Amino acid sequence: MSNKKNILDHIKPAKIKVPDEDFFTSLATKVTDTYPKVKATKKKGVTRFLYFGYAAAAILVIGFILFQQFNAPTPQVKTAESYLAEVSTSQILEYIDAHIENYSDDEIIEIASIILTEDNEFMGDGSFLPSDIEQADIEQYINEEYINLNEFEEDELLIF
Amino acid sequence: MKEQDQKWRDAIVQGGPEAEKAFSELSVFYGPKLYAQVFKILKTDNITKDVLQDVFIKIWLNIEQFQGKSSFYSWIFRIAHNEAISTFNREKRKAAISLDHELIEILPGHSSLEGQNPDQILGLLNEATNTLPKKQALVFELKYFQNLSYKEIQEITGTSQGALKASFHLAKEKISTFLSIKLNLLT
Repeated sequence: MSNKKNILDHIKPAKIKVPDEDFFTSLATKVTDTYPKVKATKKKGVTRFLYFGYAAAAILVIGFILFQQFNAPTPQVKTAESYLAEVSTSQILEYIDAHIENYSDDEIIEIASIILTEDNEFMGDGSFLPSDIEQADIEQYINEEYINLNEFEEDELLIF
Repeated sequence: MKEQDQKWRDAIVQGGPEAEKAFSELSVFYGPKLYAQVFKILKTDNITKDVLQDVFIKIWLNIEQFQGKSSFYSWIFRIAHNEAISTFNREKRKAAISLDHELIEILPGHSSLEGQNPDQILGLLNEATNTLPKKQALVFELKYFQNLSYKEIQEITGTSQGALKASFHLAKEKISTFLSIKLNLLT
């Protein structure tokens, strides 16, 4: 028996019967249905230009805000007057009623002057007192309390 | 990469209905070759079809990664080969894979082949093919097992017919040597 020929020449592969075209078509459909790929859309020129415009505008706005933040004026130290301005008049009066004994006459007058100059509600008709108090009631009050008007300076009497 | 392969790849990467159409055409064109390649290893129609489905899923999902440095068929051939070998190793642990029909015929005239089991010879052929470089293995598969002409292989791989002939000759020599050694050891 001769062995001169290549051994592979004595082995004949059989032709493999492959499925028909329909099998591969349906296989492809099965794969693409199971793992769908959404079409990658290209942005049109105008749309892309608009996006660039929006991006540029956003950058400008952010830049402006940052500029404002870095250039904001340094907050000033609040004075006693400005703190008082944030408190309502009724709150001040309630506090004074509760702590009247702790204040000197000068301090009370100072607080009253702040109220008079900053709260128009009490300055309406030029009188410190509510409008429903009659002149006669005031005179009666002065007489009952033995208040001597001659003890007051001229500007202090303006409240009456 | 072949012009048609490039068109299919580009269409699939874009997605949408055109991608599905391109993938269907690609599957019809390459499917039979891949089936024959996988079936030769797994020998069972049902398992081969299951493996082929996995192969086409990988092609569909990963085609963006194929850069065209080799031929497209080289790429899918390698995917199919790896899937088939992986399945073969898994299945043979469960039970011997049943043979639907003989995949090779032994012709008389060579003493080493006398009385050998065709299935065993096929196993040795697959084993020998695994030892070849990728390109030689692909050429050997298409020329020897699928009996394609050099012209057809050239169209698939983009390699010149002269280079294909040289590649096949080298592959054949290596496999003959491998078989002779193995069979002499067996007898």
